[in-house]
Amino acid sequence: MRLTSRITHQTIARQAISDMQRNLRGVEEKRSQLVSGRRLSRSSDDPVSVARTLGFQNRLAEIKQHTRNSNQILARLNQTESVLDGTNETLMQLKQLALQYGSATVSPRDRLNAVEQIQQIKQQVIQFANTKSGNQYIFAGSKTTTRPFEDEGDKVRYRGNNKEVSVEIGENQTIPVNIPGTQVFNTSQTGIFQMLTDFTKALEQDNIEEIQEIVGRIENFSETVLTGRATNAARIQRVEFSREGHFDDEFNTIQSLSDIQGTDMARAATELVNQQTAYQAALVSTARVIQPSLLSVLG
Amino acid sequence: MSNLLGSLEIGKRALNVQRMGIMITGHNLANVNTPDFARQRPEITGAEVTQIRQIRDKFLEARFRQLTQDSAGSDVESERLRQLEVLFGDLSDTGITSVLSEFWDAFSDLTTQPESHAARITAIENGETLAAELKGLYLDFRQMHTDLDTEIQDEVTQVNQIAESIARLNREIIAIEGTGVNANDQRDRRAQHLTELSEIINFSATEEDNGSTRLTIGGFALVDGVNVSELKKNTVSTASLGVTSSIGDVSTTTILSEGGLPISITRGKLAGLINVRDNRIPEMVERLDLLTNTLMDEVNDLHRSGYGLDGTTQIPFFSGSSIKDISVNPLLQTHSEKLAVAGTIDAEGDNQIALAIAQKRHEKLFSDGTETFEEFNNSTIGIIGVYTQQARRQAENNELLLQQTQTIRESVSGVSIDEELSNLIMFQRAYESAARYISIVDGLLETLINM
Repeated sequence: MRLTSRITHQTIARQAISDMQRNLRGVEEKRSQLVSGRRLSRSSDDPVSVARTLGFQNRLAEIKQHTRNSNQILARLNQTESVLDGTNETLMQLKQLALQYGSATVSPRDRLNAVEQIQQIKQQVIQFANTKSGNQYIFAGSKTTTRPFEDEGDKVRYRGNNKEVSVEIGENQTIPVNIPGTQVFNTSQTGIFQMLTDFTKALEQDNIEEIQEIVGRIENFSETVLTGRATNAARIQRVEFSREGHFDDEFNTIQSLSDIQGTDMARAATELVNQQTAYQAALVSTARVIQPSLLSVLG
Repeated sequence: MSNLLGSLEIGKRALNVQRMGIMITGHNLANVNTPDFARQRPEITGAEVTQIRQIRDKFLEARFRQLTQDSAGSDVESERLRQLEVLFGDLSDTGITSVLSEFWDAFSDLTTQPESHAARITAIENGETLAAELKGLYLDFRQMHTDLDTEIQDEVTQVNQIAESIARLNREIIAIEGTGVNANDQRDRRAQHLTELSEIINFSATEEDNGSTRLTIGGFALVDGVNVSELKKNTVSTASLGVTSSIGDVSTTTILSEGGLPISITRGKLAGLINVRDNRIPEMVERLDLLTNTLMDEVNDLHRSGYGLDGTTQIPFFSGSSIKDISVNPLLQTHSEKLAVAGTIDAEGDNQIALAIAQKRHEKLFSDGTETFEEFNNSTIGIIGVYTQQARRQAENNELLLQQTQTIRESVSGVSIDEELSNLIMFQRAYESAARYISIVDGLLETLINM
């Protein structure tokens, strides 16, 4: 049976409309890819690529969050470092004073005059211990809004706690961001503040032996401060190291994302031209074919 | 004399035949753009038009109707699925994906500044945005379910109306063709109705000896001669069915025969609509519901065990029971200090709970411990994408098949202007010849009379 041998004008018209539609759709598709710079906008465009895209987007959001956390805690860790540095310097200064006033060549009167100096140093140490980073007291344990060290004259009271606070800087990778205050600024009978009180008393009582003994205690405290500083420095290094890693990860993830979902401009532009040509060809040929019938010839 | 008069009679009949031919040609030309019109041809025997025949191929018609059913079904399915897909937002920066991500971010931010009211408020607000997004999606899906159900009801009404029209045309055709004349116009109109019906529902059509068409859906006769047996809409709420569906209590219409038996709908718009309503939407809602419930359980458990700045403990972060009514605990919305960030009481800088919540982001809590919240959500978007893509491809394929069949159908039944014009000239010339013949016979008669 010669089924398709008979062609009617409607067949041509219908076919022409559908061809033109298809070509025009192609033109629009390429145009929108070029304008948006994206090859994909909906899941159904390419479900597999879109699933990967979403995964990369999640990853990117996480990386950004971890970088933000890292920046936030670096400020705190750096602050801690400078406080510990300052404390150590103060201790060195104190050691010099202890050596100086522990010498028999210094008069009792001079020792009495030095008491004021020690009081100032004590205030200095309390100030260090009460340092804030942003709105957080860094040596208060997890009681970060309570001023942790309160000078009560003969002793200093600690109002913070001994908790460490950790923050996430990578997937399931957390790091402690504080050194609980009393680990460095011990308020007990064997602590730094008691030592300062003892120093003052020894100066007042002109007790040279006691003063000489204090030199050793100062050295011990300095050791504690330096240990804390080393711990803190190691943390800074870890955060910086992981932050570096995040920069690389972020770059690579963005790269992968644009590889998957981005438009290959040169290719899309070429395809657009091809589609346009096809569309124009369809228009021209349709215009030629659709007009004539026997009617126009018969006149 | 009698011979010449007989010749005149032949001439008259010849004129009649050609005039009839011209009329049929005119009718064909007038219907050149009428859908489902089949061109007509005079059947001429013994200088007489004995029948006006329609050129129509029974098998092609059946194939055309079946493909129309397939095409309409996949078309509507693809379109509705695209609407579903759009609900999940664009791939850029909107929708559930980014809201979920921002929720975890806020809790992670909170770990670096647990005592900050600003950070607490951000976490609470992001929680509210997430809850609103989930609830909004649920309501959108529910609305779509309702819209689809209304649409299904409308389509059933449409089916019954078309069935009525077909039965009426059957009656006319039986009456007209009983007198020995072909009821071509009625047949064309009936063909048009059959195409309309094909867009909506699957059926098979068989022509009876008396010219009427019998329509059956599955084993159920919709139109039998002049009788119509209407489809019934049975709208019930899921609750009354005793079905606990994640989509909640919505009304669902099932389609029954007049006798109350279920009808198997496999093709046409109705099949597409029913598939989206009964399979796709519930699947999506179920996944969203699971996501929401897991989120509520995990976050609330942690939050209950923690402490707010003012020592508040044992309160949930999210209130509500499921995706239908999830929101952030109203107490938190007005009191950010009650947000349980700390794992111990009286420690405003403690962040253990916030940290534990932020770390839920990485925990593989879904699909037998293989997917995190975000991965599970991505899979949901992937699944709807696959369905939409499949439906679109199916629709494109069906469209192509339908077009091919339509072209073949037109090559058999369609009106060709060129062909009709050629026929017109043929009939015109024949008419002129017959007229010429009559005038010659007339001349002969005159000669005879004047003898």
